[in-house]
Order: sequence, then structure tokens, then C-alpha cells
Amino acid sequence: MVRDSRSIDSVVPFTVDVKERLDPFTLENSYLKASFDSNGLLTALSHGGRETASVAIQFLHYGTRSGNQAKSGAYLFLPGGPGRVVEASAEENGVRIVEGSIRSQVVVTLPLVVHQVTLHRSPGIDGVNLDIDNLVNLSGQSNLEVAMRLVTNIDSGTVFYSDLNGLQVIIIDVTSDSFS
Amino acid sequence: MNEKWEPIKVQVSPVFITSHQLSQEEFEISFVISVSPLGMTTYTIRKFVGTFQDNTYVNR
Repeated sequence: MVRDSRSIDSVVPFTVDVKERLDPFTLENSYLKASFDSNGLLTALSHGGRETASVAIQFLHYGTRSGNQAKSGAYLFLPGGPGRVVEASAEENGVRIVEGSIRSQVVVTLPLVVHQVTLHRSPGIDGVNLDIDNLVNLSGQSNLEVAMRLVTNIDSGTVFYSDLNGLQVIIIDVTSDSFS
Repeated sequence: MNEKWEPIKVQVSPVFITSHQLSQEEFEISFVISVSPLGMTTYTIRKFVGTFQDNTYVNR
């Protein structure tokens, strides 16, 4: 049920499988198939075996603008330059995969972020999407932003639609230089 | 068990205390149910008497 780069004592009734090297793997239910790379990060999603979209997840760190210019805050994202991609090394970070008949989860511990991806085997609406939770700990940091980037082959021009608040959908135009 | 005291299938998952240590006391359970909008239903958790292998309610 579990894979990690270090040893784990198993606890009844779970079977623990510790791997020194993680091979790319998939999690699937009857609606969705999610593919992951050898670092435990998502690479592709396919719907009922028909359409496959490459969806690569990256984590980035952004600083903020220097000097007297306005800095990033709770509402404004004003980075000082392009983001720095965080290397996701499975050997260094450790990846845990918990597999079960109802719920399967991948947990990747990255610098400042614990990234959790969960797939539910449910006939309801919770079975048709992947849950992504990021637990971010920025204590001890200042003027640092952590971002999750989805690199996809979905060509929607400069516009994408995103959830705003769990109730409404917002149109985001990425022509603004904040997103470069 | 649901409100009619019928057993339902559950998944028992481990809880990690640290990144490489599983809890001996704490477990997470998942089960699939339907609740009507704004509805509420009671489920009861009971300890299984017998060995884990005898427990046919665990969704393996």
C-alpha cells in the first residue's frame, strides 16, 4: 500500500512496500486515469480512456520586486522576476502512495509544500475529479511566493477559466506580465 | 453501520505520524454513501471482534 524511499515498519493490516527507486505509475477509477512520473508528480490525465491531456505539475518559488517598488502581499502578486522551478527529487523528498479500493492518495513532500493528490473510487461527483491539496508552510520565509503550475497541451489561447470561490467561475486572461 | 444497523464496506488507511512512521493507534476510514442535499445521516463505527482476516466488511 505504501511506498517511500526510507524504511517503514508495517502496521497490521497494511502491507508496506518500500522502493529505492519509484517507477512512473498510474491511479485510476472508472472515470479517470491519472499518470505520475518517477517523482510522484502528475503528468497526464485521461477521461474514460478517450482523451488524454498532458498535465504536468511544477512548483515554483517567486521573490518580490526590489527597492521602493510595491511588493507582493495578500492580494497582489508582484514578483521580482520569473519563478524558479523547484526540483522534485523522489530520492530526496520521499513519495508515499496509499492505495485502496475507495481512496488512493499520493503524497509528495517538497521544499515548503506537502503536495497531496487523491483519487476517489466513487460513483458520485467526487469520482470524476482529482483532489489536489497543498499544505504550504512559509514560516521563517519572507517575500517568497510558492506557486503550483500546470503545464498542459490544452490550447485555450491566453484565457482560462478557473474556480473563483467554489461557487462561481472566473475568466483569467494571462496576457498580463505577472504570469510570465 | 448505517442508520438501519446494516454493515457497510469501508477502507481502512494508515495514518502517518512522520514521513516514514505509521501510527499504531490512529487509522483513517473511507466509505461510499449518498446523502441528500443538506441531508444528515448517522453512521456508527464499531470495533470488529475477531481477526482482520475474518472481517468481510473491509473493502480490500
